[in-house]
Amino acid sequence: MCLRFEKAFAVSPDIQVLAWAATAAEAIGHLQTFSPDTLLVDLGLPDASGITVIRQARRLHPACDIMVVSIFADQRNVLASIEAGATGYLLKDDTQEDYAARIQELRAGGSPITPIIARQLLRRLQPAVPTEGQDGAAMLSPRETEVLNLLARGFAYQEIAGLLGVSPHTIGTYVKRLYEKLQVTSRGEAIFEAQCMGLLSP
Amino acid sequence: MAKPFLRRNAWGCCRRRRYIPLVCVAVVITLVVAAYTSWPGAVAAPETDDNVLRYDQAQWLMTETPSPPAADAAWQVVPLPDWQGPARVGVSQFGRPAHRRPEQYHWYRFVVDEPAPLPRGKALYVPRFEDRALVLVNGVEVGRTYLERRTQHGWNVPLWVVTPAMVWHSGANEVLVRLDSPYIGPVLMSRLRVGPPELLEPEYASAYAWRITAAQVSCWLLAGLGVFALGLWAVHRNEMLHLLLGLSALAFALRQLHYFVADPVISLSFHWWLAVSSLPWAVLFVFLFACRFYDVKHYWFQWTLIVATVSSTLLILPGVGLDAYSTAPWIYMMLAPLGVIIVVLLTQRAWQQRGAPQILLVVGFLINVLAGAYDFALMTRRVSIEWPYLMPMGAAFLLLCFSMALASRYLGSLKQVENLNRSLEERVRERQRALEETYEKLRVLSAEQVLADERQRLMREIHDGIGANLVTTLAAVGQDGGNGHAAAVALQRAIADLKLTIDSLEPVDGDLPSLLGNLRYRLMPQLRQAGVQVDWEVNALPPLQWLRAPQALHVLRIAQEAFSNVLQHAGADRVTVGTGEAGMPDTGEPAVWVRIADNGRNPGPVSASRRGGKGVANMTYRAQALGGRLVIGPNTPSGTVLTLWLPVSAGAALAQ
Repeated sequence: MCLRFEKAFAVSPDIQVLAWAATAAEAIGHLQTFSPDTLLVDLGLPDASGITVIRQARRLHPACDIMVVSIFADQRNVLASIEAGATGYLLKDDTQEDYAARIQELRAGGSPITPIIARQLLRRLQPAVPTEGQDGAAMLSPRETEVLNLLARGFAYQEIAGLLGVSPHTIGTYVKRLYEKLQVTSRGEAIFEAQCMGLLSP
Repeated sequence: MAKPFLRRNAWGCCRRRRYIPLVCVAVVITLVVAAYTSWPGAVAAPETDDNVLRYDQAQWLMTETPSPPAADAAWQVVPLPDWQGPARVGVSQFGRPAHRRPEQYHWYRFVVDEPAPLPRGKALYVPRFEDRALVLVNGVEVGRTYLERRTQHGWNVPLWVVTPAMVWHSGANEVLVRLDSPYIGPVLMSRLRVGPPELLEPEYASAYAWRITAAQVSCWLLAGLGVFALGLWAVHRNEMLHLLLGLSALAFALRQLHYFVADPVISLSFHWWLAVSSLPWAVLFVFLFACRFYDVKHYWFQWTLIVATVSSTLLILPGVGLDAYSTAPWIYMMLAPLGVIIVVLLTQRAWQQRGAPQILLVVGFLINVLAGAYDFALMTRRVSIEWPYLMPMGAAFLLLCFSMALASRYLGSLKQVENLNRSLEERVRERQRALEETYEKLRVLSAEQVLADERQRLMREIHDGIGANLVTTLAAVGQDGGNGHAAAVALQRAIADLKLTIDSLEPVDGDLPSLLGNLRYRLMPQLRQAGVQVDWEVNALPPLQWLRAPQALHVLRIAQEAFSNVLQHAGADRVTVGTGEAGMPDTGEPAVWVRIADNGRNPGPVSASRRGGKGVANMTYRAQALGGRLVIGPNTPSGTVLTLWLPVSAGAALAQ
């Protein structure tokens, strides 16, 4: 896997590899030393879940783009990573040209999304009954709801952009912002649950 | 909920029918006790017994020295019973403090003729006298009712003296009874009986029982009842009826003391103050009890009565103002209107409600009012003073009736609570049954869910592992530089297939467009590579409740097969994917359709023959397994249209 990435990055002049890590501990160690623009994380690390590394990276380098390297981009792993702080993902069987393109897309502010994840975002960010105490920033705007609905029905960025009269890149930034909202929401939920369990004082 | 109320056996015996025998037994026992204490009078020898002398008149004289006057002094014949002694000497001692009262001795002289010396002494019996008595026979003191220098006065106790034989002689015997009243003033003498002790004793015993024993029993009964009621109130503070009943009983108990206590431990003036002021308090508490019982408001009236009672009590306090003993008749008379008000209230409510408690209240109080009226007549000498006072028994009866009324009401509400509890228990049982059923269902469901989740988790794990290996292998094959092209294609297919399976496992809540969208997302690179443009015309669809992992996989495989046909065989450069809602062809049941149309070659005459081969048969089979239909036809102007119909409801036979 590492080889494929190396090959892909060798040919793209804009990408420079700061460090490679085989374990989570090693990765966290590197994060103390370097401040990367982009972090690629495989969730199945030998010593710990990649989620731990994502959290640590989000904390140390808030501006860093974090991508999960996944085989399937299945919602279970992707959503967990997004909640931890990731804003993009790479499919392992993508072509080598795709790797670099995806990373650059993410740096430019656009995140990828599958219809099923769009659907889950819609569910998670739009409570059935809007409550007073809900954090306003975590709620969906009507435009975001529209975009998510179209994404969940399988429309591509270009198609949605055409329908809404914006550029495809704008849709990518929408998605990234939605990922960040999910982070905020899930953090809020975690705090709420922690309060319920008496772990935090209100 | 208080636990004891849930048990009904403890109180089951208290239903109306079952306590009637209990009441009968109680009444019989009461009668037996009453008869046992007062029976001797009833079986006494007839009054006409020749051996008993009864004196309806006496010779009377007042002296100012304690020594007996001579036989030839100025005796005056008076009829008995006699209460006019003080009036005859013109000195009303009534109401005077003891130290300002002149020393006066009232002598009553009787002559008893005996033909022969007596073998045994005679008994002297006077049913009632006041206030202290000294008895002399032939100048010899044979009995006295008091000790010198001790405050003793027996205004209610009968006089009973058994004389020795030696004081009597044949001929005329002189019996002198000396009465004085240093403490309260009045002097009373009723008829004297002289006769053999065994003949007179029953009469005396009966009088003693009615006058003294009854008051004692009543006093203890009322005190016990009062303490019991106050105890109930102490435990259950918001039930004021218990408090009022207890206070009333205790006030009546205090009132009983003066009937039988001859030498009080407190000063005599306080003793009489207690005796007189306890009655208004007792009646006041009875009135307040009745008001509470019937929820009568008129609080101003209640407060007026309370203030009046307090002030009269204070007015007759020794050393404050009026003398309690001599003010008593006025106070008793003032109670009469209040008694009438209570009678009217109780009667009216009993007439309206006609329950056992209401009738008990009115009967108890009426009896007591009658006893009070009789006692007042006795006090004002309108009834012979030889008759006993009845208020002791009346008060006990009143309080017993009131207690029974409370108990009856209490039992009534207890029964209601019991019924309520029973219906509550029944409902709780029903709920419990329903809950158990629900729990059982939930348990089964969650067991199934756990099984399904676990199966999916295992599949994901397996797929993760296989996927990682396939990707690594693909990378290795790719490095060979063209030699392993076929292997790379096979590997890519395998990975695509795994992705399809993983997608089918994702929870989409029956959302078909999401499922199709995900497939499009997966196939995007291949479609782009083949230069096929996708027109995505997918509309929102109602959720298909039956669309779970196995069914989702069928749908995905059908759609994937359709796309791969487009890619591999049709030679198309444009594919249109659309969804919609319509009735199922043939049956017309609510259904959704998915259409995949390309602009490539037309399909062959036999759809299963050339294009796709076995693929179409598989697709058709899968569609049928989902309870849907698959229609493949030519597109205009060229190409193929594949339409998959799926039922909205789960009624159709579904593949597992």
